[in-house]
Amino acid sequence: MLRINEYVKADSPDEAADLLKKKNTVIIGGMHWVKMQEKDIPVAVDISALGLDKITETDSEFVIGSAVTLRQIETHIVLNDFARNAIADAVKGIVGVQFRNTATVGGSIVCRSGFSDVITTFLALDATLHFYCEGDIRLCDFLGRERFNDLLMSVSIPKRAEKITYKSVRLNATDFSVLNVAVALCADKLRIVVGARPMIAKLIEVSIEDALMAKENSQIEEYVNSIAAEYDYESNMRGSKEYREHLARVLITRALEEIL
Amino acid sequence: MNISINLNGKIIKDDIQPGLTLLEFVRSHGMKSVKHGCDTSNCGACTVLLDGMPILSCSYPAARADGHEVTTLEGVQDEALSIGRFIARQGAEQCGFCNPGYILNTIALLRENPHPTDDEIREYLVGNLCRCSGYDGQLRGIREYLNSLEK
Repeated sequence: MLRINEYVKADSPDEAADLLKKKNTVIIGGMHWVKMQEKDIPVAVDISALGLDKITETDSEFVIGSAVTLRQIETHIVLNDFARNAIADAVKGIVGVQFRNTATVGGSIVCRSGFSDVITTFLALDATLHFYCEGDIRLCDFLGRERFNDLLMSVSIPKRAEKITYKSVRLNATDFSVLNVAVALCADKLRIVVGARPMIAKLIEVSIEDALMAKENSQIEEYVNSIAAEYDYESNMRGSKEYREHLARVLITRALEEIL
Repeated sequence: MNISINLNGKIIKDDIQPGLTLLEFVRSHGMKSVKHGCDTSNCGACTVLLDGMPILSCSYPAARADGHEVTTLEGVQDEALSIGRFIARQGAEQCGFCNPGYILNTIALLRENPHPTDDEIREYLVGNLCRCSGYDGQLRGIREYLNSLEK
């Protein structure tokens, strides 16, 4: 059971960042995962009053506040027009509407959960995270860094992807993905991300020319096999290592059929 | 800590423990329709409307609801009763434990989308688990309710 000793609704990013310097201070996002932990939290910081719940659009990017909910990115028409509905597809299987009304984009990313559908999709879209103290960090770099305690202000998605698609397999409708795949076409590169392996999403970039050549020469199966072999897989209660590798080949093939 | 919540149209001021969930808060103020189900954000039995939006009160800090409007089934009784009758007629309420969350989420769906397709109903209510039925009864009940509104 979770026990909170002090609950602070931060009035400013400065206040939240200051509180985070104290040991064991936790930011409360949707609180769904925090609540599952058996521990005492000396100070819980609520950032819901910081105005980080907006999605804005510029000529070159979408900026998504860290307190934006999964339901907001699911139902944002302009964002999903750009992303060919891949963002909505990625989150619509996450529990239910009530859960997605409070689970946040920030919480989905900073937890760095292996099963995350958000990370897989945002990694394919080459998202950049904007931290209050640490500044801007590309998501692909963030995932390889050691954990640090900072206030995530927003996530930006550049309008570079010409096409993107998201695929996943779940054992039942609201469960975690057994495996998820997102593929984006950015300029002459395909950004292929495989997540829930069950480890955290991993990105591989390949040239679009190679993919098109494989398609022309009817060698897509061999081509996909070689890509799927670049990821590592493990077993857990949702699926074996071998099943996941098989799923990766199937989902990458389906994604490429859409993109190419 | 002191909070003030508009609960079903009535302002409730209270001094709460920092970790108190909204579920514990509303039940302690007599709103027993809100059920303590899975306690892991999965079953939907604890659904309430926060400023009209359905959320899981088992995972929502009561402190965050300070200054907001919270609606439970007790606050929308007439609407709930009319939908509930159609669900009951399909034999889909059975033990009844999931019903308050189910009906409250249905009300939220219909406010957001007054003319949902069957697939849209399924998608919106997927977070409400029912261990008695196969979900088709609830779907038929909601469809019958919607048909009755059009007559």
